Amino acid sequence: MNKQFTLITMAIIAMIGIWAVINAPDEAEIVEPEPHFVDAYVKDFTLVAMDENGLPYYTLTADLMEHFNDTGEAEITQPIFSIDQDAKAWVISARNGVIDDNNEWVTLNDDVVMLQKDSPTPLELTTSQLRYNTRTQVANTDKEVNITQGSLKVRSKGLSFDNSTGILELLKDVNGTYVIKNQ
Amino acid sequence: MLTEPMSSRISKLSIVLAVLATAPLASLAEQRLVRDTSAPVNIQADHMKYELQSGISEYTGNVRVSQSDIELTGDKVIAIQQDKVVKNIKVSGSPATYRQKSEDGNYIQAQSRQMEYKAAQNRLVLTDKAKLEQAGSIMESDQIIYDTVKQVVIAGDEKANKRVNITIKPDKIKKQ
Repeated sequence: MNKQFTLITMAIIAMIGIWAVINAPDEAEIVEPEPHFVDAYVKDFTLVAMDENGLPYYTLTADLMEHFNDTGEAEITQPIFSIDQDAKAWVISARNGVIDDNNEWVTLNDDVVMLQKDSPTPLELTTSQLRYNTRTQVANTDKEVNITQGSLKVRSKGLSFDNSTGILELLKDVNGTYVIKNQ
Repeated sequence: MLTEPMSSRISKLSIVLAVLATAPLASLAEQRLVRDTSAPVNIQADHMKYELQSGISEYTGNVRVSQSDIELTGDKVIAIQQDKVVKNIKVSGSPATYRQKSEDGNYIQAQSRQMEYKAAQNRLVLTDKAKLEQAGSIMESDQIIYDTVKQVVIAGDEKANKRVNITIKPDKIKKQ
């Protein structure tokens, strides 16, 4: 009787053991957070991107660029982003910014100033954040924007600008002031 | 010694008196002209589209244009700049409206489908179902040109092929 009881007990324990092994979580399923760290950095650099004709397309200078291993993004400090398109040239500066992992979107943050180059009455745009697509040449923001050009002053919330067409759209609460030319 | 005839001297005197009498009015008109033209034009709207190359701005959605004592409203406003200074402001709406406070505290009001405000020239051109109300009188025409400084209608329909309808309120006639 005792022998029988012992065998049954051992069989149950063995079955529980097998069940536990079968249902144990796979090692591959355990997701550990990937460490987030700077895997490369560059100090005081100038990056010149060329277009398909081998001409300068844009230039990026900054005090520091730190590339992160997991997101593929790069954080830039004191960036000056220069767009060198014929008659559509701009300089955008900011305190800091982020370049996405495809090198397509540049997000510029804090004290962003976008200034038109090579114009007798350059347009100047200031905001706290601006996203610029290096491929499509489209810039946008949902933050407050201040624009000055000659005697024109415009304030708005949100902006979309297409540098290829030269059309600037102010998206909300637009307030513009013009000075009148006496005749 | 030749003496001037009395009638000629009276005539000269009356011309001098007329000039002296109208001088303050002319001076006042000049002052108002300077004040109005130097005031900046403010435009408020929901949305704005600005073409950098042409300098044309298009404002849409609850558009309100103001300059000193003048206020215009409409659905769409196009501000045209020349040498980066605004030259013309075109307002369209159903209808676009104009309001200006006159010196006596009353309002001059106007409306039309299309308006063109030439701020530097102090001209407001109303076209398409134009209507202007001033001191109780109502003027209706396809086109009204209004001087915003002198506060007078300076022309009706330029082609003169449309009738101008003017209504003067009876109480206004009695006062005059």
